[in-house]
Amino acid sequence: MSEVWSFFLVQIALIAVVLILHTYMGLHVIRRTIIFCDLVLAQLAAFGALVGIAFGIHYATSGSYILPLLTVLVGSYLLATIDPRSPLIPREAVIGIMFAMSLVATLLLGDKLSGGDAYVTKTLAGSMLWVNWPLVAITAAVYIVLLLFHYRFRHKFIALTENPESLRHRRYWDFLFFATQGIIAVLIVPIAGVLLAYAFLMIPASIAAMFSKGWLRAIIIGWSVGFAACIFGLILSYNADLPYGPTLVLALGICFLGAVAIKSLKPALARGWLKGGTR
Amino acid sequence: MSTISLLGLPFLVALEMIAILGYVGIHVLKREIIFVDIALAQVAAVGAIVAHLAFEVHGDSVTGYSFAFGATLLAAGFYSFVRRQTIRIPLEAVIGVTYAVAAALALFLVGVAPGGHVHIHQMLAGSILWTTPKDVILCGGVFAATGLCFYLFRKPLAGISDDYEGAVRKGTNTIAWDFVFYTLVGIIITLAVRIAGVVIVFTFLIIPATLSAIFAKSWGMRLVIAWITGGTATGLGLLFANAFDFSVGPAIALFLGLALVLTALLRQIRITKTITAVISFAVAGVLFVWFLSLSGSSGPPALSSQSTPEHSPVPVVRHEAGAEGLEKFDPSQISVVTDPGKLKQIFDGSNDMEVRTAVVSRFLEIDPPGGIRLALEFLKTDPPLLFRQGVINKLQDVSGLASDYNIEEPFNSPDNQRAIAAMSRQ
Repeated sequence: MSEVWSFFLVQIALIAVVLILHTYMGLHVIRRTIIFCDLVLAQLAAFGALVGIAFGIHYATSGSYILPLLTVLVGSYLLATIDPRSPLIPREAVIGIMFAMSLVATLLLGDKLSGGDAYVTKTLAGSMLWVNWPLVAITAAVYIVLLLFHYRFRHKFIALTENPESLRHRRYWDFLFFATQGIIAVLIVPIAGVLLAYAFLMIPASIAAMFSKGWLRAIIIGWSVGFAACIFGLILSYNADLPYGPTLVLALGICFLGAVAIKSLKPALARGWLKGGTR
Repeated sequence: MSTISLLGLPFLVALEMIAILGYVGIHVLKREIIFVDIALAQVAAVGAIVAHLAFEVHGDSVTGYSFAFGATLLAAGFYSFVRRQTIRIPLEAVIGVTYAVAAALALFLVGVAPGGHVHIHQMLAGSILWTTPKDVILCGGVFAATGLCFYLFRKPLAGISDDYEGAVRKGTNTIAWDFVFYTLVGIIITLAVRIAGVVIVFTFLIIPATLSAIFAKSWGMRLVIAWITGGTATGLGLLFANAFDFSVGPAIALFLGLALVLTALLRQIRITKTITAVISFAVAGVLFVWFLSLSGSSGPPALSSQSTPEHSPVPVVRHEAGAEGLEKFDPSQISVVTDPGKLKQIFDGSNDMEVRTAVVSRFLEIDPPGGIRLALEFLKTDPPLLFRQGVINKLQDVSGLASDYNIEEPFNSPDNQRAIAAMSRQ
């Protein structure tokens, strides 16, 4: 029994830490409409890990983090610097194309590696079962460092989202923004899988962005809803013996549907909120 | 000759897809709903999985298609409704959430099914190489019909794509027209993904439209540019995949990506539009000829460990084998043969992996027990991965027995011997 409890505690502690940074980053991502940049970086991390496998480095060992880190940094640089001049090409299109290309690279490399298929699936689903105290400690430590960094420079990053023209060295801050996401992706994908990591980033922040225009309030809303949904998903997955990652994503998804329903069923209230914030 | 018979149908179906997806892509880009196809494809997959679990039907059946379509309709309704309601978050965010939830649902539903990873790879990379004449006709019909709808309703649809708020102000019923739009897109994407896989459909949708935006503003010009680049890249991708034994879907996507990167780079150094266009197409043309000559020769040295020299990745017709021109069979001819004895004769008479795979598939259709024996005989020769996967997929469709067979391992590996033993017991 105690082992079950400590296993639960590890996961809950990790989720609690991870959700703070993810909700915050997610808010940026939604407000800038660069929704899928996380998927690009996660896919690039997966590609890096696959290259590592091609060189004989085992998946989810400490050595396997180096190549993914390198690929996501290159990706962050590209994301920060490619800025099409044509107004007909939204930034999200560049992201879409980068996603397609990294997926293509992964699949083509997978073609030439034995067990490539199985690997591609593994990166999608993830496996929280690997979660142990040292890994949690490292992940949590990196997350806390990143949180402190983002708290220290929060004005810069918020300016990047709300008023990018006013910011000097915009590309540089952009790179740091994407690099943060990349580092998160490298750390979290082997544990949670691409899907769950993406859901952590998107769903709590989407719910929060629907109900608040501020930053702190939105983070509190997003974190609370996300944390509650995850605890619910965890208990459900354990008791009913359901697959871990998908159950958590579904729990989060139900919360999102609920939020959309609340917003739609109370149009008067929603209108009041809209008037409150000037666009 | 064999290159044309192998790649002709896939090329045809790819051209049909470019025709419609190139156009839809311009809409998608204007609306900033870049990932809508990945989300809709995922939703449709959930529909097909539900149909499979509830009624034990295959995804290609009428029930499978209607469930996939039903799920897409639900998503279409949701998107057109939400676009109007929650203005606070961009629609792309809602699409992102739908994608994550639908993907989770799919993993959730097939989580326990063995061999799931082969299916996921299949859904991503697709199997456009196995296109049948039926697929070409089906795609042609459906895309023509949806294309006609897009043409008839071009005013409201383009109006909303160009300026949503403006359309609302003019009194357009945006919810209804959005529903029409997402339904049409849903139909196209459901069908296209089933045949070609997510990767191809996604790149067909985004890359030609983006590339055209670099050069032109009007719908007509953008469409023409999108079609030309799409067609060229597809041809190159097919030849590349064929010459070097890669998955076809990702290879085509790779060439589209290269075309875009090349164009963007040339743009960056501020050469005039015309020169850029001419150079990129010239380069594409040179590459095209190069690959033609490559695939025309005996083929490059095998890159993959799975392709031993006897199993050259290029399905070259071997003239020394077989009597009475049996080696000339192509897959479409084989798919109409109904006599098992004749099939066995073709199988024994041909060394061509593609012909042999087609024969095994056909045999499995008309005489499953005999087909399984023939399939095992074929697998024993450890054909290249692509063909191995084709046979195993067919075997799984027909008998539901082959899920334990690991196509990454040789026939004689302990795992596969166990899988074969299990199959024989049945």
